[in-house]
Amino acid sequence: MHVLVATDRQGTTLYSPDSLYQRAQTIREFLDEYDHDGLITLKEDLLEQIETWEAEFGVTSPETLRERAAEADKADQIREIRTTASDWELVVYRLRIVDDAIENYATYSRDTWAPA
Amino acid sequence: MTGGDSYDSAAASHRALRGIRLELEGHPAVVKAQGFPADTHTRVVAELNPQHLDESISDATLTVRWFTGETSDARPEFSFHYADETGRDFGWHHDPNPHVEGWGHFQGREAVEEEYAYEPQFSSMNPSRVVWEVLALLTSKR
Repeated sequence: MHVLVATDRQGTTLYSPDSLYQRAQTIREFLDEYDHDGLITLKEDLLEQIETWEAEFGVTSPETLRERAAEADKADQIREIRTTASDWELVVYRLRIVDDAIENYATYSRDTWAPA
Repeated sequence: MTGGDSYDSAAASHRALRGIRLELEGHPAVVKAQGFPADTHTRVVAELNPQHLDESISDATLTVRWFTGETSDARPEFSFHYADETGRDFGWHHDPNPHVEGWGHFQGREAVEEEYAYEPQFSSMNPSRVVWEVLALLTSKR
């Protein structure tokens, strides 16, 4: 696992944490903040948020929602759709990590609390 | 996931927001920075240190949104927005806005009942650099 990776963005090299390293760090933060029941409650909250967006916009994915921005005719509407779509992507990503933490809770917790 | 073979806009945005939180935590103007809202963490909110800005203010926050873009070569969309208990709010935004040409701009108003005033702004696209740039600009706006 690399700690830093270099990416080129519009001619500028950016250094940022490796995705796998970052995922591990996020799981560690979840385990520090939540116990197993807390993670399940968090998962429910994230799913509820996604269901709210699904009901509000009548779509089932952030990608489909983003396509709606092209059909909107008001600037404020377009802005709201784009912002919600990016928030939705982030929540889906977070949900995947929470699922991982729940599924492997016993193993990850043992790794967290084992004496050095 | 959107964009090229290995680009994941959600993972990249998550990484950017995490980096921003860590940068904010290291800045002397910030008391505390955390993911917001508490469950979804689609933003980072920083509680600002009044001593660093204006001693007449006791409750000031900087709320940050950052989306790295749909593809690896897309421009990031972000905002750093200040608010305090007096109703004053303003921020530095980098996203499409019908009131300004280009993406980077400052927008603000002195009180909630006023309309926003816009002025063009911005240069760096690096989350860490933008954090420090914005907090330097924040001092000049107070």
